[in-house]
Amino acid sequence: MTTPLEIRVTLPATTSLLGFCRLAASAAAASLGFDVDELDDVRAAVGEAIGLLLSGHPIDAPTSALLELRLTLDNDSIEIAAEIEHPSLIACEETSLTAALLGATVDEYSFDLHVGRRAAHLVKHRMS
Amino acid sequence: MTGESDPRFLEFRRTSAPKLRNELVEDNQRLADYLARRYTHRGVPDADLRQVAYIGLINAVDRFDPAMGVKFATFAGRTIEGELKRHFRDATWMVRVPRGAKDRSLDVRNAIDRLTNELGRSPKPHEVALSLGISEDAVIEALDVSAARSVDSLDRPAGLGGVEVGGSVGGSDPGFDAVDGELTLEELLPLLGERERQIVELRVYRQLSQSEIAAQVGLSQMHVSRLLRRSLETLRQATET
Repeated sequence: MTTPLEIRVTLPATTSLLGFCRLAASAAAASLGFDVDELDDVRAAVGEAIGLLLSGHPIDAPTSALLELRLTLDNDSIEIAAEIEHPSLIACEETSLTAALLGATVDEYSFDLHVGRRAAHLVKHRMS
Repeated sequence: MTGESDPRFLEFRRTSAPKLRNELVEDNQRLADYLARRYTHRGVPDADLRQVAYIGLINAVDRFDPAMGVKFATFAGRTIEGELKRHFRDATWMVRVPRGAKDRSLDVRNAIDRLTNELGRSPKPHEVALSLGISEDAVIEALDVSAARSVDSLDRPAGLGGVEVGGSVGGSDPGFDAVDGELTLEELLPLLGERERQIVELRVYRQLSQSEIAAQVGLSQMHVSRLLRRSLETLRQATET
C-alpha cells in the first residue's frame, strides 16, 4: 500500500457503540496483517481511549453529540483518531491506569481534553 | 463517615453483628440511591435499580476491610456500580451476543492458545480462521465478543469525574466525595500476581521497553506483551467492578 487509506466514521457519542469502534479498528488492523495479539492491543487501546472520551457524557440525555472516528492505514501501522465536540462535555483527565494501559498497548498516544471537546490519537505499528 | 474513621466497620468485621450491619447499610443508603439514579431511563424500573444498588451496598458492607486502606465510600461505590453493571450485562447479554457467537469466541481463544504454542508466535487471524474452518471476519468478531463481556457500554456510566457527589446526596458522609475518585495504580497492584506486578512496575515506573523487561524477567517479548496487556486490563476491570 503506497497511499495511506483513510476511513472516517461518524456515529452517536454513546458508550453503547464503543464495541463498534473496537471492532472497526481491529478489523482495519487485521487487514494490515496484525496478529491476534496486536489486535487485542488495538481493541484494548481503543476501548480505553474512546471510553475516556465518553466518560461523564450524559448518556441519559438524547445523544446529539457525535463521535468522529478516523482510521488511517499505512503499510505497517494504524492510526486511530477520535474526537467528540459537545457543550455538555465536562472536564476530565487521563488516569495513571489509562496511561499504563495505553503505554503497554500502542506505540504512541495522546489526548486533547477540554471542556466541550475531547480528542484521542493512537498509533500502533505492526511488529509481526 | 469513612471506613478509616468509623470504628463500626472494624467491629462489624470482628462480630458480623446483624444489627450493626443494618446500621451501616442504612447510613450509606443514599450513596446507593445516588448511584442507582445514574442508570435510570435505560429500560429498567427505578425500583429494580435501587434494589440492585442496595444488594451492592450490602455486599460492600460485608466485604469491606478497613485494612485495605481505601475509604468505604470508594469501595462501596465500586461494588455498587459493579452490581448495577452486572445487572445490565446479564439482562442484555443474551440479546446482544447470540449463543453461537459466544461458543465461537471460546473456540477462537482456544485455537489462538494452541497455535501460539505450535507456531511459537502469535497467530494471524487468517491462520486461526483456517484452523477452525471459519472466515477471518468471524475470528475478528469473536475476539471482540470476548471483550464485550468485560469492556462494554456500561463500563463508564455517566458522571464519572464530573458530578459533585456530595452536592447530590447531601453532606452527612464526607467519604462520598471519594466515590468518583480513581483508585491509583499503586492501590490496585496488589491484585496482581508477583510476576505480573513486577512486569507492570518495570513498564510503568521504570519505563522499560517490553524487550528490556523480557530480558530482565527471562520471558519472550511476546509473552511479556500479553502479560502486560492482560494485567492492565485486569486492573481496569477491577476499578469498574
